[in-house]
Amino acid sequence: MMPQMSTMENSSPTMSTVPQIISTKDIQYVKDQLSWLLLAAKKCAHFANESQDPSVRQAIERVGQMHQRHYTKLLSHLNGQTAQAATTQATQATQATQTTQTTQTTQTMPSTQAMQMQSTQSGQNQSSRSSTQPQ
Amino acid sequence: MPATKQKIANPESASGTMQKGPELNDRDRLNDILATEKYLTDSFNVAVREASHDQLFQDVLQVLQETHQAGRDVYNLMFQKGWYTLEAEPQTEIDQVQQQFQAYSSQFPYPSTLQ
Repeated sequence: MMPQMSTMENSSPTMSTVPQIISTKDIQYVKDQLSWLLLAAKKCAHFANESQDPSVRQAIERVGQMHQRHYTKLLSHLNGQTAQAATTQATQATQATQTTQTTQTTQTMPSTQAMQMQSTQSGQNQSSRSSTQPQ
Repeated sequence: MPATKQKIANPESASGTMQKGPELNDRDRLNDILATEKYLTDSFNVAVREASHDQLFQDVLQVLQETHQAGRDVYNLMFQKGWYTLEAEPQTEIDQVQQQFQAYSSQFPYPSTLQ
């Protein structure tokens, strides 16, 4: 809930819910998720192709297709239109009222976590974020 | 005296064991995909917590749930093929834990609602 300044003239409605914007944090997470998903889809396709047992092949194929579907789903959040409309709405609301922005500084960086999990899994040492980026 | 633990598993399917050499076999591939789903659900779980707005939250949550299910399907397939063994906990041990935690319910802060 955002406090309304008594000196303000306009009675701009306070936002009841977070507008549909892509925050600076969101973009970092979405980038990482897209990278993981693309790699997972490719790996599944590769393994499915190598599989001897048809039920194994089918199962892995299904998983891979799911990852690709998820990629498209998350990518759609980066399409400008909806984000832009919500940003305008948000800007208008924040101009009228004083807002306190909550900062979450104690969160672990997503890519670091992904790195740690990947290195645990595969035994590789990856020190930079860019190594998970698709080509 | 501890009871002998019962092993729960299907007979091992051929395609996983056919090649027990340095090359990846079907069992290895499923194992790796399962591990992938596990690490993905961990990562998506963090991402879903950090989503700024509801639409993104809902979408990432759905991705998380479907990824969980995918891992589950792989796990079930591995069990079906005899590539996953479980051990059943003896009933005596289960009973002991049940009694212990049944007693702890005396610490409930809220009144119990009986159906």
